[in-house]
Amino acid sequence: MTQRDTRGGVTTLRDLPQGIEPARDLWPQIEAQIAGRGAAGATAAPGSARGGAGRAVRWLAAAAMVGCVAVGVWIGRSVLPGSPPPLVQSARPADGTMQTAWVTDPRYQREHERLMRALGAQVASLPPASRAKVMASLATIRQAKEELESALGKDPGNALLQELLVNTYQDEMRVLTDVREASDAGEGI
Amino acid sequence: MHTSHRLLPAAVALLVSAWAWGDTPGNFEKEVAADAHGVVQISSTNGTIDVSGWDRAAVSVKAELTPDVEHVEVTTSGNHTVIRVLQRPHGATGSYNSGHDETHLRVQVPKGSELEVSSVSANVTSGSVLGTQRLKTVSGDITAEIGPSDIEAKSVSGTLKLRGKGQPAKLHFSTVSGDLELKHAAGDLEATTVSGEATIELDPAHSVRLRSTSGDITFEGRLAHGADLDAQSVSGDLKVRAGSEDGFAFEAASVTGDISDCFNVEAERTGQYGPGHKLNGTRGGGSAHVRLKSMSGEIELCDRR
Repeated sequence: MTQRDTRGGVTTLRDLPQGIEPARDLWPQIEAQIAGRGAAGATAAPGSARGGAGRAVRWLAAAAMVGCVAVGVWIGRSVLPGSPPPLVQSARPADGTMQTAWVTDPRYQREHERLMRALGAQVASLPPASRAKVMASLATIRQAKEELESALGKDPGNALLQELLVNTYQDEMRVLTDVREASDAGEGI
Repeated sequence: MHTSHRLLPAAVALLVSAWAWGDTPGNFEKEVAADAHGVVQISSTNGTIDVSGWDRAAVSVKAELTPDVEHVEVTTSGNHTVIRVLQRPHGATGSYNSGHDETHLRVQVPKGSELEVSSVSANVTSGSVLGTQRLKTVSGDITAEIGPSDIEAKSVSGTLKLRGKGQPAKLHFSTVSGDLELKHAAGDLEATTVSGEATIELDPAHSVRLRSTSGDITFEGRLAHGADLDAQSVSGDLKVRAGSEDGFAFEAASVTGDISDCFNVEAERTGQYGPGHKLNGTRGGGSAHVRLKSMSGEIELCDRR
């Protein structure tokens, strides 16, 4: 094989050499290195790399399965239509009826608590005739809620009672909001 | 000559009263030009607010004021006219004595106006107003004529008395403890009350939503083709007497209250062991729908008025 001197500059492809031979035969050294690595692996732990990968896959599969179950439970409890709203049974009173606490959206609870905290001052700003009537109406709503919750404690799957209870909660919020607006009107006019 | 002698005292009395009206410190009178279809907003704390529509493009305000009123503000901006009765700060009542116990406000507005009234304990009356009305009080009663436009009336403890002329409109009423009385109305209705009694007359009715906690609800009217009536209470009674153009399908359910009807269909138990009754069926073509639900209130349903 001829070697052309390229130091003079390459102007066309034809100026490049057809092949470049190594200065010495490299294969025996490469073969020896391959053979040495294989022997070392066989004496250390046959199949350990494959086994480690397998364990990782099994852990991943288990975690995925747990995740799927959790998502399924969440969908079943929260998203699917027809799922009854979660009722948490609290203390059982002496008369045997179950008291239930309505678990609602935290935003609702925050807003409800905020309105209830402000209620005293707002009611105080109403005309005396209205004040007594508003308090009586709120007592009516509270009683309705208690009756509905008591009835639901005995018949938790009753869709009518659930609907009426949710609507009564909404009515209570409406009254609290109306009272707030009314007290604002009293200050603003 | 004899006739002129008779008229003389009346003329003198008229002149004296006109002079007295204008000069009495407790009285106020003002008239401003207004858009025939503009917005008129009125607010006053107590007494009465009487609004009526007229054919003129002007807003007229007359008021009998109490000493605790600082002044009456009448402002116009664009097509908005705002009337406000401004109270003095507590304990700063004026020295004059108008002889009035409460502020009485009489406002005439172009009949095509949109009307917004807000009061605390003032009783509000409106008539001959054809635009949309929004009337709101805390304890004052509201009495209004329903025109062809939508109306919203809201009170905490005041009574709502509304009278229509059979023209369909969108109606929104709510009270906490005040009663609601609606007559000769038509169209779509949404009414809610906590402990007030609601007596509704709607002919024809298209979409009706009624809700009460403990107050009784009575509906009487005629359901239009495809109409929807939904009434619900916790412990209040529901009485529905509804004629219809093409019959209605009905569903009534109560947990502990009785269900009765005027067409001899027996209510049945919802379950073998638990409490509760239901009444389902169809009258006539069944194009309209009636749904009545209560926990302990009684339900009465009839397909004729």
